[in-house]
Amino acid sequence: MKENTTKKQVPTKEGMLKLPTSPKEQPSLLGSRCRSCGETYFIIRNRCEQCQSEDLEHIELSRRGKLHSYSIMYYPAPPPYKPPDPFVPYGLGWIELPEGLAVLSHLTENNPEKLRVGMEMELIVEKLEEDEMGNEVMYYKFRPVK
Amino acid sequence: MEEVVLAGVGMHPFGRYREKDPADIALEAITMALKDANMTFKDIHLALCGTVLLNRPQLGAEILQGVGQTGIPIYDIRAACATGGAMLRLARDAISSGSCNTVLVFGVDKHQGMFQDLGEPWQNILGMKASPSAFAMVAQRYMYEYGATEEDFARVAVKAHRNGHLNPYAMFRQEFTIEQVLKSPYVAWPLHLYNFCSPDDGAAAVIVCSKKAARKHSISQPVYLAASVMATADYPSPILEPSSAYSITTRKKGRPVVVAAGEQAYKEAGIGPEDVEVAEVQDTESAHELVHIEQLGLCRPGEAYRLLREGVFDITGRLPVNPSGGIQCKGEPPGASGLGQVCEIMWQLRGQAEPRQVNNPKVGLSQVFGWNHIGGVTILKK
Repeated sequence: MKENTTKKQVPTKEGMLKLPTSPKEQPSLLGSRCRSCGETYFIIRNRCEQCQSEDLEHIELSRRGKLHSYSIMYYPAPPPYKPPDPFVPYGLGWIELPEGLAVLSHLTENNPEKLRVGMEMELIVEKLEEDEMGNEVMYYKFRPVK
Repeated sequence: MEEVVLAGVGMHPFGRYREKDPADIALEAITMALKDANMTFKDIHLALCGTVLLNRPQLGAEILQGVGQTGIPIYDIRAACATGGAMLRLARDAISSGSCNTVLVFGVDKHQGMFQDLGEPWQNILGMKASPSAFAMVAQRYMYEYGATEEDFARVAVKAHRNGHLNPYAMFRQEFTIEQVLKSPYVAWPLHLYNFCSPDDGAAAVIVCSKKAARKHSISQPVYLAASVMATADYPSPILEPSSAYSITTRKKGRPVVVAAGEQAYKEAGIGPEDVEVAEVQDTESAHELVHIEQLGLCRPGEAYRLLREGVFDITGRLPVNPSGGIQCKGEPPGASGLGQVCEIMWQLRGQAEPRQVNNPKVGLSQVFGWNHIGGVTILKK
């Protein structure tokens, strides 16, 4: 277990996640806010889609949001996705965040009976795999708030 | 604007043809369309070849060697599942501008596996952009907003297969009950296997020409291209519209691209949705048949599943939708599927749809939707 904590964690895509460096810290999704029109985006970017301004600031997005819609995938997506063996159906959904945007995410829940439009969801991060450098590649999921 | 005539159509049945080359499949549709238009390839001034899945350089030029090399311009066009609608718009413009009198538009594809992986590389690694889930989330939201159920989606598939079993150009020709659809495995909740279209192989061809050319070739039952629109989304897109998006603003509500394309098409044709008498709409899965009917203004939002229960969209109903069985029955070779819809509307307007014939329609509509916000709406009038 000790070895695990020393492993470097990296996001699946650069500019996507702020990963905790100590147990006191919480992970968050990263994004950009346009200083010109105020539009916000998940994952850091250099140009605003709405107004084409290149004056954007980096932001951390709220860790909680509301479920907008969801689906459960009963078949694995094609490669490069590596399904677990045996395959387990997985939930996907759009989460509305208070910054004025919705984000597509994996869900921890794969039982549609336990999901509802509008329910409160919170961010967690999970390990996807280890890369060839021995880093833990991390991705994000949302889970229902208990 | 110069009136544009659809002079002929042809189709190779959609299905699985492992042993057949795309050229053989396409040439069958092309020769059928040329014959239908009383033309030979020498009469064609411009050709457009639609494909989505085939990666062969200058596929159109390669295929058309089979009907003769005449030196005309030939372009390959890709617009995802909206390829057919997109090509018709280009053909219409080529004729109405006077740059040519006859255009051969054809589409062909061979399927390359069940799911398309349609996101950025990191999304595909995470399995977030396999197409079924994007469509299923729209279905879920439709249930939430309007009170539709899985049974309503099953009813769409039942109607599709009731029609498709009469269609010699369809891949699946068996009828289903609601129970059978609901018992088929989930692909992406709330949608089952029998709710989905299936990728397959096939080709369709349409000859578009000027009124002058139609007279010259003695087209006895001219059908007019009253509107042909290819639209992409304006900002912002709706959150759930199937695309590679992972971040969408909620500060403004997006307008679905099919709404935009429909409005433009009605304006162009000088008609309203109430004038449409038969429609072929993109039914990637059962829920989107309902969603697209509503987005086209053919009924009010949230009303389509109730009208379906009443039989309004049956072949014998007030507004028959997808009398061909749609791609739920035909399967979807995406380069050809939009033109496949146009073939059906042509046969319906000319009274040639045999057991699928609806009652003497004069105005028909074909609608396609492609990944990443491409909408195509074509209106035909006799």
